[in-house]
Amino acid sequence: MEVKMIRVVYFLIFSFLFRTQSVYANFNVETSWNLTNGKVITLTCDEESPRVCLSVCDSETMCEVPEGLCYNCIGNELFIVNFYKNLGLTVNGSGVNLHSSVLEDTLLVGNFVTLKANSVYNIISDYDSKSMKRKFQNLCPELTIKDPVVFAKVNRDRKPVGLLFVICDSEVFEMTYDYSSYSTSSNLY
Amino acid sequence: MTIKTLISVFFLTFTMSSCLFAQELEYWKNSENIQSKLKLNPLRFTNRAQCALDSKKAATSVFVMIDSISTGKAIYRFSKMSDGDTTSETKLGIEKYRYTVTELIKHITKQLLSGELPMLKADLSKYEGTEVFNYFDDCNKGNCYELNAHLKKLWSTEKQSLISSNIVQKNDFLSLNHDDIKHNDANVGCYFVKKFSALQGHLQSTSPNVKTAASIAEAVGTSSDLVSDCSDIHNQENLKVANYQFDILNVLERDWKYSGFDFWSSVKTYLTWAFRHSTEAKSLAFPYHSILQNVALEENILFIPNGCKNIVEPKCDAKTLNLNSMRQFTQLNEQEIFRTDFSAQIPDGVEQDLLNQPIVDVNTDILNFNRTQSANQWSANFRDKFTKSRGLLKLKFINSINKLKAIKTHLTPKRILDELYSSMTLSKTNETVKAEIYYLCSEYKVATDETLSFLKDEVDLLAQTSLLDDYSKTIGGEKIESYVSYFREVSDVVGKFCDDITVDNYWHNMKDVDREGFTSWYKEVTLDKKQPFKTNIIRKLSKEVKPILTYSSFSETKGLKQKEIICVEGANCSRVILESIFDLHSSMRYADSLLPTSEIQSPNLANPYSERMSCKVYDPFRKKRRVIFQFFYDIARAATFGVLPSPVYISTEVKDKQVVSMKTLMEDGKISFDPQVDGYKFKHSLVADLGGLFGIPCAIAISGTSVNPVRYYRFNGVSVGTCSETRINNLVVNSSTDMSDYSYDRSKCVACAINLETVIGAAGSINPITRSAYILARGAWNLFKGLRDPFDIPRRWTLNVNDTYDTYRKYGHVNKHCLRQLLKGKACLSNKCEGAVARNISLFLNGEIEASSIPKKRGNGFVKLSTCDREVEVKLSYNRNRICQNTSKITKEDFIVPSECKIWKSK
Repeated sequence: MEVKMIRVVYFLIFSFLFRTQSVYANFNVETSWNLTNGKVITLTCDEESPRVCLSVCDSETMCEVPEGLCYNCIGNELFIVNFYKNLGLTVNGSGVNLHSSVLEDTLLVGNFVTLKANSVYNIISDYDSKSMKRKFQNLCPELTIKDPVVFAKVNRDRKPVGLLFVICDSEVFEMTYDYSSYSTSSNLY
Repeated sequence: MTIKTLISVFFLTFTMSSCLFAQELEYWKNSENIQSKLKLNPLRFTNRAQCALDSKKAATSVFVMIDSISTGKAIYRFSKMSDGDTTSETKLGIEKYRYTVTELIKHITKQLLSGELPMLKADLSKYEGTEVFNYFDDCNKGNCYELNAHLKKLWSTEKQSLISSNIVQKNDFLSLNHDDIKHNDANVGCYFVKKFSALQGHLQSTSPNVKTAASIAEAVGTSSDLVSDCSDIHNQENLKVANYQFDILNVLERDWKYSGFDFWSSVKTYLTWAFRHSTEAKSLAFPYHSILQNVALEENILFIPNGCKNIVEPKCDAKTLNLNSMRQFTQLNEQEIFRTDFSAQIPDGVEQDLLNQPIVDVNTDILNFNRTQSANQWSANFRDKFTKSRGLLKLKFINSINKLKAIKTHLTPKRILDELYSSMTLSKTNETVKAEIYYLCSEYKVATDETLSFLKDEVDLLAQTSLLDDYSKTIGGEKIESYVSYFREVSDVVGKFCDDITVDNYWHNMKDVDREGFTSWYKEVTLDKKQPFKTNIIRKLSKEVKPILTYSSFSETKGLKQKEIICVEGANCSRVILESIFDLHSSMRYADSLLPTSEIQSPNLANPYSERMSCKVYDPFRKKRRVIFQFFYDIARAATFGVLPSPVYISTEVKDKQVVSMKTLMEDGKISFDPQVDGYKFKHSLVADLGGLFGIPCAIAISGTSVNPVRYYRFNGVSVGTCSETRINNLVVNSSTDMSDYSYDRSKCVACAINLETVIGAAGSINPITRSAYILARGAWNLFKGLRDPFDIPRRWTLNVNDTYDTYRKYGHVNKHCLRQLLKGKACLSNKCEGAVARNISLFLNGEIEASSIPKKRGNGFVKLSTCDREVEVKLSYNRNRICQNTSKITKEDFIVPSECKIWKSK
């Protein structure tokens, strides 16, 4: 029983420390297309808190991670259609702040694709659509300086299969399929 | 003097002989604006029955339709992001995309034909028990990782070691063609189609005539307006959709019979891998490969057979039926799509269409090629309808999963019941809610009533299939079965609620209900009318009626947005569940053709008999069988009059497959009649009824057993078999020339059989026959009429477009004689040698013949080509009977080209 208690206390302290660190880990995620190398994620870190970059590529300031193929993403793939069509309705940010290690792990494993308002994969809305930008912005609890970047999980065929998280400036927030809200009719009538 | 004279004579002779040759050259009538030969297969004209038969064969000519809209949008966005010139970059990106696809198809087909790439089996069951079977099976379930790794090995140099170790199937072309030189001739032609024309004349006419041949020749003559080389990417104006025609040339029919379907399956499988992963694609698509490899290729490409033959062996399954129902998208009417089964709330399914319309037109421009200005316009119309239907279905699916997911999460069946009673309370003061409850009870009654079990069965089917499960998971949903289970629980609750309120006399003061308030599916079922698709049950929201289930973005203060509302109150929520279930059902119906797939689809648009054959709704002898059925029906009727079925017996030692005619049998006294029948009259009536069929030599086909000691055979009917006609004349059934010894002259149309059945019992036991004689005679007459039907006796003709063009150019027209020659596969020029020269010269030399001089009996020939002012000499050889020997083989060495003519083709 005591051992169990000690473990719980350690876990709480550990979680708190990391959570604190994540808040102060100053990093930035940008995506770009390079015709030779394809899509690249550029991770830049503040020299004072280089931990994220160090764990991804051993560099203190910048890492470049190739994104790889997004199978069938240019077209009418159901995941992509649902994502852009129902962003803000059934596809939402949960508001849960995640530790930056999920970003590090994801970048190291490589089983992800990134989605933005202005993306080659977004052929649903117009380019530079204000409405789409607003929907992406709404995924973050606060107004961001940089455009939010959503990470989606891909399977071995590199087909997008699930939501991961959204990068809001230097913070990572959970993404979820929203299950809507319910009020009983007795409250309404 | 002597030497001078001799020299003069020599020069004079030489000059005269040159003049003589020049004079002998006969200029062809049309020798201006000559077009090059086209790499197209001969056009195969077929009537309905032959077209139906052809559906079992593999196509050698296919259209590849490439939809470039998604690609264009992606490149445009890329260009915007990188501040490029969006117009030129988008155009270039689309061109590169098309170029990559078409060049890869060419590369793969050539590699398959040469045996450098192993053939993959179309029928996966042939792989059963091997790893390869698992690779394909997993890929069909959405996991293609292992298959891709396997394809990578096959594509690479490792394939040779795999072949030698028997891990992969050896290419059938290699084994079959090992000793056959013709294999080297197998090739592929690829054209960008600008306008559908007589070059696809077999889709517009069931049989060729002089006019058809002339229009084909004219089409070749203006081919630059109709087609262009598919590598010429800058000459393909429309950037939305492009149509290409691929013809696989010079494959031997016996090889193709066994490998044709495997061939196309291999092309499609390798293409999907190579487009994304091969180094060839990377170099072809440069500099856009990193973007293009993300394109949903399988969704944007269709392989469509150019004719009645198929790319995939047709089966009577939902996949084949759904794919082929894409034919509906070829209709030009804008509104047509909303009346199709695709957009119905409760689709009937394609099989209904088959049953309702077993006989439809074929090869009469059913795809509306002639009604469009250009191939681009046709493709744009098709693409528009296809993508609209696909989009509609996807949205239906996504919306229904999202709604069911939300409602299931928040509203247990128990809670729904509570909400329904709340609604009932509210309905006492609110007519809208009362109407909602009325709709609810009516709709659930129809959907779950045992007597209207077809809907219940459809829902059961939905629960049993796992087809949509992966799609559901992709967008965060559960297995479809869980939603159907939930629906069933809700149904029980709603049913009980509706029963209870009915018992309580709830409806007694009910006012008229607006029928428009019912959901589209309900109106479809009860009114038997297709309704425009609605994604939501429209409800008027008011201060009293507010939504109980909304998406989190919903805010009353920001205004009520329909798309943010899932449902309004208990009755409405229950109806949304029901509607969503039916939306899932309609998605399931057409999932094979409209939802994403891991393989390139190949609908057979031109041949509606493809699915009719595989589902046995139609077979090429349907009409014949129907009349024979009628014949037997008449026999059965005769039997009901208390007599034996047939008045005609053949009492002779006939052998199975013996060739005789009814006429001969009768003349030889081998036919006997029932004792009660007036033999003389009946004989004449039989002759009259069978008409031409009476005299034709037929193979005897004996059915039944020969247990009869008296060896009596009953005449059962006459059947006519497949016809592979090489002449343009009608069915020859009454002439002895049918049995001509000259095989090339014989019409193979008369593949005829007299069907006999052994009659069990002695002649003495035959009962008198009276009234049945007339019935049977009439039956025989109907049988005969049925067999003469021009549509249902299979017929085909082939016409070589290049030979037709040469004939037309030489004479300025194609007459009946020439048409007959052309339909036999021969060129119709001065003689066989000229035909062979015209056919083969373009293999080695640039330019087309303007004039020719080909001797009939001996000596070399001369031709004048459009590319050179001097004549080219052709070595010809004749046999002792002075018949040209170079009919098919004219080699490079046979041409003597003047040194000043630089017309040799580079390798």
